[in-house]
Amino acid sequence: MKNNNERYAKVEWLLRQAKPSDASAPTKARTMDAAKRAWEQTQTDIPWQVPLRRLAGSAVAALVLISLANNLGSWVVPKPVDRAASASEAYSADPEDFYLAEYGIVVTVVPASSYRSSAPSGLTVSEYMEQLQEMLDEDRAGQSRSQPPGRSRLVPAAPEQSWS
Amino acid sequence: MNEYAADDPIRAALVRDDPAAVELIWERYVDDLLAYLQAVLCSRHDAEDVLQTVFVRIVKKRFWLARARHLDAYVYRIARNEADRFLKDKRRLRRPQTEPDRWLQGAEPDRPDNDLLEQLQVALEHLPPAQRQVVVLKVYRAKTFEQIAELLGIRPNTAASRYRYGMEKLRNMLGDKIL
Repeated sequence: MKNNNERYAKVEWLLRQAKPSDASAPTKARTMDAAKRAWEQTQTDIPWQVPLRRLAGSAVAALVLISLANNLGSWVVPKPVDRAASASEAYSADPEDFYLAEYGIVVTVVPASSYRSSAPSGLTVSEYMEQLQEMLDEDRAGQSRSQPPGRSRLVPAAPEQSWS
Repeated sequence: MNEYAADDPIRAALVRDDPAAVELIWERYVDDLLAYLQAVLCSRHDAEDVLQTVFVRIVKKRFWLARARHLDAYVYRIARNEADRFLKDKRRLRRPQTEPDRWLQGAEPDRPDNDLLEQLQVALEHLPPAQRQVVVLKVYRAKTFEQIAELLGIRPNTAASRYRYGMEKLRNMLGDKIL
């Protein structure tokens, strides 16, 4: 460290034989004039407006970022599939589809030959459902006249009827 | 160093919005600023031009200057930014190179050694700008490394390191003058 100081001391001594130029009188006059004009021009600047402008700018930036994030989210994440609607759309040409959609039943299109339905031949699924509904309604009407209060009105499925 | 002190005459004048603050700022900072700008720009004329824009900027930012924690650092940051802007404009506009501008003058005006002045100036201009700034502020403005670090926005160790590298290069370039 001491050696460095001695080495640099000689260089510093040499450098100090010169010095940077001082500001001349014309330079000072020119600079003071420009500063005075700038002082008068900026007198109307109200400092309290600056924080308000910054707050407004921050609010705008926040709104832009939030809207961008929302839009980006809707682009990236796929829309949830409405199963009932898709089922109804798959059967859109058939009025029976709306009947099934009301019950929230998801129906897979299966060829009639691929499963053994317990429905009597010649009946569509919707027609069979309609028959079952009518049977249930009749049974309820009958039981409501003869059934004591508190007893379940559920009709057990007939053993010969199955979906297998 | 420059804490927010009500007894600081420059701060007091700025808070009062007194135009006399400009004269006070000139008296305090002109020598340091001009030396720094000449070290950055290596031209007296360019340094004086930039000095004018620095003072205009100081006046326009006087509200924030009055409330700055470190007045010196704030003023030097303005000077740094204006010098950078000047250099970028100079490169962009491709201003023609004027004749060499001597920004060093003899320490004793009545006995100038023009050869020595030219050699010193050439040697300083061969330094990287970052090292030259530290050397000029240390040698010609008698700043400490802590003060230089605060003014230039660097660490004191960085300032010391730049000074050492700069002085080594100057020693090599001016070897025959030293020995």
